[in-house]
Amino acid sequence: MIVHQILSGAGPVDAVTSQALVYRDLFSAWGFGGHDYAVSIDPRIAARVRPFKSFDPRPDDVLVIHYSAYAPKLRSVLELGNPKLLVYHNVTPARWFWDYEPTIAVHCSLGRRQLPEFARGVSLAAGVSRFNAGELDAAGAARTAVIPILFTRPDAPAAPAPSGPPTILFVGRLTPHKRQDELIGAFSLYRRHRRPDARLVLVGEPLTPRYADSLVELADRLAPGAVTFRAGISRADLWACYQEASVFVCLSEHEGFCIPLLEAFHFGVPVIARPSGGVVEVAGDAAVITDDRDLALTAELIHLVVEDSELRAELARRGRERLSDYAADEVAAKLRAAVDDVAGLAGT
Amino acid sequence: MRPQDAVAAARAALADRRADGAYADDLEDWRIQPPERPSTDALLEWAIIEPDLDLVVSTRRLGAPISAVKRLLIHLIRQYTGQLASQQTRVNVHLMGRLGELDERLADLNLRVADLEDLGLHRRIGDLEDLGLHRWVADVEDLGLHRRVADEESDQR
Repeated sequence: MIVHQILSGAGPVDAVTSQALVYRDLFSAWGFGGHDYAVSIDPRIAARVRPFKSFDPRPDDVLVIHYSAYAPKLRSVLELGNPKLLVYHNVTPARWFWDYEPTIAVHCSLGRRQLPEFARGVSLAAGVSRFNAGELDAAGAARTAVIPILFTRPDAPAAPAPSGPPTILFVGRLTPHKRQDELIGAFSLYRRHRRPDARLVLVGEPLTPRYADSLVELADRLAPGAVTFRAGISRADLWACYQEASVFVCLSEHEGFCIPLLEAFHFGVPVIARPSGGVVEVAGDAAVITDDRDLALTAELIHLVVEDSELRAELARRGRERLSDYAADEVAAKLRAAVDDVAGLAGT
Repeated sequence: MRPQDAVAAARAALADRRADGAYADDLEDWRIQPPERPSTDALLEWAIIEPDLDLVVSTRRLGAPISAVKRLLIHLIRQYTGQLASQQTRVNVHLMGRLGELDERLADLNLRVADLEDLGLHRRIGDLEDLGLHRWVADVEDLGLHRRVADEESDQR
């Protein structure tokens, strides 16, 4: 079988590209041929992804379309008669971006408006979470499925409970919907009222330099010298951040899946999170979940999780259990079933 | 402690701490302030695309000939750039028109709401809802009674 993948953009640190490359490794292991194509390609990954303008499939080739952004040039793929599987990675609603980056807001808005066209134009539409699959249903997809993110376990072990001052960690792009600003606020309260020696580590690429500057300014004002921003770090450095963390706090207001939750589970780091988007289903009962907007409550929760060893141990145990639900073999089987399903529809 | 009990425990601890005077911080400016939005007047001004040819210059030393070449190139492709500017201007102007209409409608609706509030009608509607009258109306519609009444009125005429 020939399976081609189509992406709007491909880059070396892009989560969607990483997922497509993991898919490709699986396709090769299953004996499938085919190539991966993207409209825009970062030169650092040009060896593994071909330009979309060279895309010329045969009629029976299966097409896997990864959808995560406004992609007008990919519309032409929908007109092809090939069996098609859409993998929807979610598009963040525009409302968080209008005030900061209107151009990104327009792209997000168009990306969500264009979703029904893609959802209806494929043989099977799959979300990486039930939350995403729900959006595909709402967009009018005839058939939907859930193929979770193929989570590759970090090649580093969980560390023993960190000693020294508590370290709060969040990993995710510095963007308005991830609410690093509120996390800095909650952390500042925690320092003022519980642990003046605590520190916060925020790992992630900034949406724009201007937004990153705003967060740095806020951190300098509320918790001078206690917040570390890290971007462009290696996998080994990222794993070290998890190993040194006392608690992972996610106050994000929109998440299609949230891979860092699984990474925190792998390293045995207790998680506090808001129940946004796919967070609830990914975290299950392995995280402390609250939608209370009171930052003082978040500060008290951080204190509780840091200080209560029994609670930490139970969260770590549940986190390990949770990971088994995302075992690579099971997810790979779901992907295989979806591709076989779509391929079975070829010519019908 | 079990994870499912953590939020309640934290809430209780917070209440105790607040009773002792903690967490009284003023959180007024604890969030990032978005950049100021451009005014409607500024948007209107930007809607019409009118590039200033005088701004096309070379910043190099002795760059006058380069400036002249740049302007010549722009002159040579003015049919193309003119199309670009007119297409973009058309979109901008229509968008500003829609925005103006929405602004006016919103102002009009706000005025009507204010009038209703002055008359106290919103309270009366609230009273009717409290009495469950809106449900009775819905029941009548479900039973099709309103159509029967309309039919009988039609027959009588």
